[in-house]
Amino acid sequence: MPRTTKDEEVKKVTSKKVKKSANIEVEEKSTSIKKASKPSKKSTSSKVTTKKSSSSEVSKKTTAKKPAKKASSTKSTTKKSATKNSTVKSTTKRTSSKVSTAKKTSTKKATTKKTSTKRTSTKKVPSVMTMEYYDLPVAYNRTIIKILAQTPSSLFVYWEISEDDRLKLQDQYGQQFFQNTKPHLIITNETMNYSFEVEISDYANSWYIHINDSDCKYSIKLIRRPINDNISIPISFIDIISSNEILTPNDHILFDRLGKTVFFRNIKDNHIIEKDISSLSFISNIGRVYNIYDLYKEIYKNELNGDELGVTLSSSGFSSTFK
Amino acid sequence: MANKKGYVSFVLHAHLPFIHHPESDDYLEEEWLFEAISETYIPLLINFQKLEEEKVDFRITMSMTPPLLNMLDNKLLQEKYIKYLTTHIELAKKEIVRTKENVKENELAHYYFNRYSNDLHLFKDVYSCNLIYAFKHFQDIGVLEIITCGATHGYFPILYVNEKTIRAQIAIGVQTYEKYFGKKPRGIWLPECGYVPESDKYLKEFGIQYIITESHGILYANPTPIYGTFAPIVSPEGIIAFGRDIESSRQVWSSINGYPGDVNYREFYRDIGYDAPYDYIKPYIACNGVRVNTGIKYYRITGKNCPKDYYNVQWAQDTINKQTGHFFDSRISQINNLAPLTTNPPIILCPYDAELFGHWWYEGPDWLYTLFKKVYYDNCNFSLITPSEYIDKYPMMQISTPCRSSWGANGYSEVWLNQTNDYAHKHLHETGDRMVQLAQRFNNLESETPETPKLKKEKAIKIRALNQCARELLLLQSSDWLFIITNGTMVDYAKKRIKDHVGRFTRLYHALMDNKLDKEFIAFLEDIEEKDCIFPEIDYKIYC
Repeated sequence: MPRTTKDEEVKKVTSKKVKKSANIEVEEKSTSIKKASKPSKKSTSSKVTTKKSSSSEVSKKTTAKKPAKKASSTKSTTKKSATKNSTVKSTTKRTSSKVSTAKKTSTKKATTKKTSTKRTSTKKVPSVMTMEYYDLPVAYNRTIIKILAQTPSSLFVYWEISEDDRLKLQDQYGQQFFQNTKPHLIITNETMNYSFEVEISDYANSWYIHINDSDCKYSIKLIRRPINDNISIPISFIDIISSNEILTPNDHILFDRLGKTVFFRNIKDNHIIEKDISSLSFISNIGRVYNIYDLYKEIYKNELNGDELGVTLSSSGFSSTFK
Repeated sequence: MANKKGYVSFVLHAHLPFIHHPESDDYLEEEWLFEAISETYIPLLINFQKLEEEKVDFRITMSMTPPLLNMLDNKLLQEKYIKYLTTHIELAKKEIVRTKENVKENELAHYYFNRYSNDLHLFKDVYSCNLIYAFKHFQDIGVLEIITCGATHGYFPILYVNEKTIRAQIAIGVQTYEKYFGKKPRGIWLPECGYVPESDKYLKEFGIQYIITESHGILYANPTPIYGTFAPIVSPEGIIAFGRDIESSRQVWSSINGYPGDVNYREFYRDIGYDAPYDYIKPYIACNGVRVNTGIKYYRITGKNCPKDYYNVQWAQDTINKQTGHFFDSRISQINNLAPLTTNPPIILCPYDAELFGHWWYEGPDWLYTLFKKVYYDNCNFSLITPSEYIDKYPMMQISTPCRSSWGANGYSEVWLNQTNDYAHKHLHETGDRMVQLAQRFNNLESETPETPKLKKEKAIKIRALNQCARELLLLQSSDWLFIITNGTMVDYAKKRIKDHVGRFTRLYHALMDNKLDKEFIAFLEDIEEKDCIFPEIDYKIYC
């Protein structure tokens, strides 16, 4: 991090004049790096976000790769509104989708897409109003790592190492510390008590990780391992930072965890009763309720992507219908 | 309400992101609200009114989100809507002249002229420019249950790494509801149906009784709900969850044979904004000359691979009658099959985006009206019900924790977290952390007693700046920006909103932390207070 202790840049344009805030620090540039080719299908890591890892100078990011499997799934996500239902059309102004079988009016759509969000000709700026322009901060000068669950089988993790901490590491292990080591992520499934490791890149500040077990607690540690003999450390790697813990979603019906009894609560008086569900008639009824869902799966198979119980039956493609 | 063999519960989620640009008249995005008012909210109100006048007892539930309520209550947007209607009436008048040689188009031009003129009359003279109280009336007479939503539709599965930020989303959602409806909401529409069990304690804290989840929020719950989505469950924390019924949802949403795609329904994508001669339509499209929808549309969906036929209001009504009959019969049959399997009468929960009805599916509000009348008059084995009524009638429910889920594509978080929008998450989290930091640092600010007028003024500025920080954070957290980026249209606007709210927050944050509250800063604060004027009564200490 450069010069000051602040960490953002705020650009403000006041009546055609650009003023820089006093607090400016790291400016994000929009230099995107082209996506790298997709890694193999089974790859555990998925995406690289490039970044100039340290220093005061600007740097920034963007996406690189996702594993083929993930990439395709993300694609279908995005498309759900657009493609999955052949009926959907994107439109100009408010975009997205429509439930109908009608087709796109092709040329219009193209025109529409170019519509700027804002009309230009009659724009008036009242004297009180200031025109503003901001870039997102590239870094916040904190040492953090955070995970989010994207799906039951994928985690998203992002991280940052503060300038102070970078300097401390260099003071402790030598100026060439970052050249002599490589970053790795250790992913721990705390529920099932196992870990695995993914080598990442110094040009990344975020990653997608494929996980095999849903409905589990995970945490991630960012470490660095030596890549040559020019560095001397007591153990085989150096801890940089540990993440929050996250519980991933469940992705199937938990019949296997259904015991002989279930509990019911009367929400008016909080009275709890126990129901024995081991009788044949009860099991048969539960079976019939859930057979209905199998039936839906069959009926709507053309609209499903082969997921377990048709979670793609969701309407998300149409949610927020104006956008 | 007599006991029936089963129940059907319609839930419409009415939401638009907060879009308010006093600095310009030319943001097309502001028109999303105006289109929704003309195509969805007023048609729904008209149909509710008709049902009331015809003494049809019906039930429906609507979530009205805090950003939508704030916009409906905003004087400037109300004025802009009147201007929008005036322009549309003027265009419809011109259409009557332009189409005089074409009987079918001319009939429809008259139809649109009448429709927009009626909207103007209703909006100004009947609703006094504020639709909130019109909806409240139906809640007050017991046919509509209005529920709340997260303050700005922030997506909980992403925000909850800082739990204080979801607590604030819930708290402000409840406060806004109380402001407009004079009581506490019993239910909440979790933004995007995004459920995490960690939010239960905050829902409980603010008096929320029930939530709506996607189907697998119930089906994948732990332990397995023995009645599937046909009965609500209660979490160990005491939050009741209703799951979406798959069959009835598909009948409406299905891309293959969903109701809105019928050939007699109005074609959304043929609009005179594109079809009319360019010089003629230019004053009514985007100011930069790009053709956009105007709302005046003359065609029906027709069939595949054939020229579009003209829209016929009567044919559309015939289709409505046919489809509501189908929906009605399907529910009777569904309930007949289910009732022997459940202890309490099964509930079929049918949640949809409100804006589907009328905006995308032009005939949707009339469809609901026709169905509700049919349910009331025809002999059937089910009644309409609200979730609250069902809870009151059948309070015994299975204890189970819903599955982390959303109603997004594939059922989890991919829509709001993917390679197109993942750059935004660290900013959402960091801004949330900084808000908590500010609230804690200035926790006692209000109890301080400044000794000089200058210090007194400074304290007032600080409080305003802190409250504005909370507004900027909340607006940043709208799930809408991430959704738009994923969807790939209007992306620039969504990205700009993310940058603007992070940028404004950051500037406020540094000024507060460094105590640099100079004149230029005060001018900036006044400016963004006017632009981002959502939640005028907000108190930043909600983040303490």
